[in-house]
Amino acid sequence: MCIEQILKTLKNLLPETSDDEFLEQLALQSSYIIFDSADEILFKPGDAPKGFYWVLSGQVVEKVSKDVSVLLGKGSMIGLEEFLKHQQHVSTWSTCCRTETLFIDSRCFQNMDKNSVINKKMKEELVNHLLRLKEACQPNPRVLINSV
Amino acid sequence: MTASKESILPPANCQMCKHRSESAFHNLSPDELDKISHLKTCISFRKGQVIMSEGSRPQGVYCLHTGKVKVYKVGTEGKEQITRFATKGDLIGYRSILSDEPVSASISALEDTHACYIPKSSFFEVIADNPKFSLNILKRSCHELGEAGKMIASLAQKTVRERLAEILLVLRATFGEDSEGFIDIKLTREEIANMVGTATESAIRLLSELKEEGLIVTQGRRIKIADRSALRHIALVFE
Repeated sequence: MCIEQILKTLKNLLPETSDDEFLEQLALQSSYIIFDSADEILFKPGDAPKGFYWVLSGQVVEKVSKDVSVLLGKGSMIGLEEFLKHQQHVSTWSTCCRTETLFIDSRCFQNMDKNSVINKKMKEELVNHLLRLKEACQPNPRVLINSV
Repeated sequence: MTASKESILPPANCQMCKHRSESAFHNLSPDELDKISHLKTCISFRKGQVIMSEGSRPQGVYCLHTGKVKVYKVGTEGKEQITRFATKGDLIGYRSILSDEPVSASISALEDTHACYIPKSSFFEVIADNPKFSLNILKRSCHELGEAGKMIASLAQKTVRERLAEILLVLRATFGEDSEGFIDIKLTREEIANMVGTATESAIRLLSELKEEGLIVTQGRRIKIADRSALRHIALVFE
């Protein structure tokens, strides 16, 4: 995908930001990666937190345990917590379908962090991931009703 | 389309590629090249654009057609260490694909670069169907391992002046010379310092010393090696 197409995708993802120069820098400093099919690995346990994936399209799943998985889609930032905390990954992230991403490393992140729209977006994504994780860990309500 | 633009962009068919003899695909048959031509897409990168980021898992390899790229690692304090360069005919990203590990270094374009992208699945198909290609990849990997070993020894055992002399020779060997005899790559003093593993001020001082001794000629960012054998002597390089 060429720079212009990446820019167009970023503008759709961030309609609130009108800073074209910032978006162009973002497109130049990140690396565009397409995962062509399902079950392609983004992170494995033990991977160093060198960056995170920003999902432009598609869906990814985090295999937290045998019974708990978290699904995230367009706009989510995969691996952001580990990146911010400088901690190794402990779970596996893989694709559910064809997925387009931008990989953001520390250098690109330093520029992103200065933008208030992106900053807000990152906080929203962290909260979103936490909520999804919490939902995934809830016991099945049907099981609860049956046991009563 | 002008003639010059035609030569910059990769051809649709790999059989027409003028850099094929320098690439890992150099001894594939016309049918095998035809098959790869259908599997690849041509991609352009702007000067300064990141092609691959350290820690990511790229899903294909790039065969460079025109342009120059640097391979580097960024330290915890944001300092860049350039480990090597790649240019026309070089294949980048294949080690990560083969080892199923994240990329160990970042790659970015030093100038506008055009490449052919071969997706992972297609790359494995080519490997499975072509023992000659597999052997080429193995040879390249072994060569790069050897060069990495030399670099480690160089960083550990040589003085900064010796390392700088060696780097200038490596740059000349990698990029050749332009029509005026200057090394055909323009690097900032910071980038040269990053390759040598020293501060930018030290690199600037040492380059001035080499210039005063008549071993190199500089013109802005351009560097010409005036006395190769003397530079080899300083670098303790005998090949």
